[in-house]
Amino acid sequence: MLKSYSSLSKLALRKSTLSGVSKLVLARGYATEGEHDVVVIGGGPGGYVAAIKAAQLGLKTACIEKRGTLGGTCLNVGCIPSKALLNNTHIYHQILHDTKDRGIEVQGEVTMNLAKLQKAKDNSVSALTKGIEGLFKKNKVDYFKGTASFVDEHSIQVQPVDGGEASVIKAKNIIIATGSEPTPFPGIEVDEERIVTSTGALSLKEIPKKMNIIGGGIIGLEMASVYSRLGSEVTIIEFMTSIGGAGMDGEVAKQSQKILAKQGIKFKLGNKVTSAVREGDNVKVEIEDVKSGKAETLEGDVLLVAIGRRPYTKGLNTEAIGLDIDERGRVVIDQEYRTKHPHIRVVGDVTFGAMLAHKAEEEGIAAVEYIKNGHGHVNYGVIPGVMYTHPEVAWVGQTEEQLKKEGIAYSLGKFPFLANSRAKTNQDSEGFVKILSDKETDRILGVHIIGPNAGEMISEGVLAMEYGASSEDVARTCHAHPTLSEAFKEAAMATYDKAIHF
Amino acid sequence: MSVLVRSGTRLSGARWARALSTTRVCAVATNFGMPAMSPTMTEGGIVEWKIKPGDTFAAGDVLLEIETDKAQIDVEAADDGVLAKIYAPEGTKSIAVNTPIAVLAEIGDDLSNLEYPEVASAPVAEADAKADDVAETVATPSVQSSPVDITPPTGTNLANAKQTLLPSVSTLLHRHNISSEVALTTISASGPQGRLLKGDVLAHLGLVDPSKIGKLSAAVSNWSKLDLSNIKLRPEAPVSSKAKPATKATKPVAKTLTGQFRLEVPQDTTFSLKSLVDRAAQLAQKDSIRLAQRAQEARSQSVRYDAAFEALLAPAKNIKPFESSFKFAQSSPVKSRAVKTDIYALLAGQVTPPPSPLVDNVHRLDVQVVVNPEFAGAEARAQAYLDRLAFYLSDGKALLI
Repeated sequence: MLKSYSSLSKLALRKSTLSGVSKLVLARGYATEGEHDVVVIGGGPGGYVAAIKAAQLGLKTACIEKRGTLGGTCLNVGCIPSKALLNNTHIYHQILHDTKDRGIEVQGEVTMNLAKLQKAKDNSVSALTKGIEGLFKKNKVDYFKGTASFVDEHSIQVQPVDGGEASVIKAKNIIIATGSEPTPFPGIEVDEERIVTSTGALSLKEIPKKMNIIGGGIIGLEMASVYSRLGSEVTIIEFMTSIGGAGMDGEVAKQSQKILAKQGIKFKLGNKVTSAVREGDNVKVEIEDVKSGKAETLEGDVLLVAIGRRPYTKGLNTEAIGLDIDERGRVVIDQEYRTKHPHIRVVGDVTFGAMLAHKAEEEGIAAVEYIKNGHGHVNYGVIPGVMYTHPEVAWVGQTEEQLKKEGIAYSLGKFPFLANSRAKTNQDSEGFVKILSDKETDRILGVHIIGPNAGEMISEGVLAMEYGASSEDVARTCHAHPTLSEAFKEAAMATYDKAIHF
Repeated sequence: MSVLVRSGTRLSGARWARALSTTRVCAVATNFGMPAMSPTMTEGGIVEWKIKPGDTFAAGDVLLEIETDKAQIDVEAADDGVLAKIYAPEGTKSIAVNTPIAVLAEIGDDLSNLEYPEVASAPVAEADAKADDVAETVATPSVQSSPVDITPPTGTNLANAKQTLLPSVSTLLHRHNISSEVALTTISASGPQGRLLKGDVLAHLGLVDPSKIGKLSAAVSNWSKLDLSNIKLRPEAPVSSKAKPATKATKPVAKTLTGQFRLEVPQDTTFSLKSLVDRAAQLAQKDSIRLAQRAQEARSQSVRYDAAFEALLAPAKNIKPFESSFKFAQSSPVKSRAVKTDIYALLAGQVTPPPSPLVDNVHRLDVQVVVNPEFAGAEARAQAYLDRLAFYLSDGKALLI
């Protein structure tokens, strides 16, 4: 069926090369014209993965991206650059504060060269984004550097980013993966210099003396860690009474807050921001305690607004094809990612579900498989979340709060890294592994880790849950000694029976 | 006859059935009676069952299509559940309202061990010729959908024969002297791709209530799906003419009524502004309930009044028709003046007049009444409440103290 599709489109291609429009496209040096089996709008984790997968499945595929580089928010101004900063500032911080007890004597002054730190970050980003471009070439994905907007249900106009005339590409199937952007705070004007979003926070020109952050979610806490390690006095302002946002287990969030506070980050929880204005090089933030109504003014060099992200469909002209958009800007889909036009599917941040790069990737692949085979699968119950502070926080599945709310009885097993030999020898033993399993059947329902390398360790929990494992199954599986992962095994033992080393 | 009406408020379905059932023994299964889709409906026919016995359904799913003398109507489920048995098959005509047409169970209930509620305990149709037809059809389908034939609820399946047993499973089997061959052919598996889980073996051994497995599987399966419930479309977005599955569950939007009052309180009054407003709200609330009761009594005199239908419309006890909230704002600078005003001087108007310069403390009171869209007639009650509030804050102010 699909083979005949592509041979048909080849025929159509030969015919249409004669037409003026396609000549123009050829002249612009873009990928070949003609109808594509799949056109992906957006080159972020959802979009580029979908495009590569579609091409691998033998579909004639194009991907349209207007940023100029592939990889989307994640690679350009999100996960990747923030991890570069987090990792290097962690090493810096450790050299400053955590060498004596290890027998390392540092001679002379240890300083941070911000420009070089940024350069290291930019190098990783550019290597990775170019890598995707290479993958596109290898898999023969036609890459359009331009802004996409719908003409009709099967035609998309591409306005090249480097100027020049727009062209129209035709598609049998379309995948919208246009992602998200930082949610603006009503009444606060972002200049990306003093009042910044996560994007601006990744490339500040100097280390702020005082930095205030609106939002105690993952982004806020990660950037707080970066600048606090570089010497800034950081204050987190959060409306809710706990940090971490939805999905993070209450106990873990509390423990994480305690550890971060010990590292010097200040927390103003249960506070709302009433206004924020820049006065020269100073940003004044007015906050008010939600409960007591007590008002307070915070001043700082930089204010980071990190209250979340919102779906991004700017310029897409969804109105032209009448796509349904919900009140939070998400494109409405069904369980197979289809819009009201069944050949137009939507994946990633621009639609429903958690705004996570790995969730978007899974959806990108599933959407393509639906197109090719009529079947795809994403298990939304086992999508992990990770916060890359130190120690890291990672989780998958249900929190204690969620299980209580659903009235599901559970067993709880916890094992502290303090009792784990590797963590102890690494002198990095804050945190614990916590496993929640069904009280009667012992099936694992949630795993919550705060501790060194939690982000890597969570995969074991994800795998266990994907297979429907019980905590006993994990406990009866051999784990290498001495590793941090033994803490995971011991927590599993504690869930259905008893831990050995605690 | 050919008009297709979608029961927008999801009145019918399992909740109706459960509310109607007089047997309280049936914690497991409930009779599902022919729903009354309008106050005048006395009987209806089954056009089509949209689900089969053994199928699970979620709140909002269309269970069946029924026809009345006026229209064909989709009946949606109000709660999640499983269709255990169909009494009245497709094509059955003239079934009296409340006559059981099917049996519903909870998700995860073991259908083969279901306690079926007595058909007789539910309201039965008059014994005319048509009702006899129903009785016959009740007998026939129950054979074809006897519990043995019912497909097990989702999540309980035959074990995949080609699996490496999980360590917990093989340990448990060994301890109870069950060979893996026997286990894989006799124990139903609830894991992904027919994987035998520890809980399955425990249930097989009677160490865990088997219904727990189904319940857990249902929960896990629920978590595994992208949550697309309660999608509220952006208002300016063009509304699609075709009802889409993803948008079907759209909840009615809560309406908000607002009122603005100007209150003037002299400083020497012994009553705080807040206590006076609270009192006014309390009285207005009482009045609105009384007015609603009066309207209900008036309606019950009508020939079209149907007690059964009214009972179905009656909301659960803990649901409020509306929620009101107050916000005070001082609309003019506070200036103490020597002019003595009446101690009860609470003046107000629906529309804010320019603040009078001669009064002491002028406050603006903003009232917001959010109407619960799922409560029948809530808006009228909210309006009545607001009207009464206006009265107590103006002409009726003497009643406050």
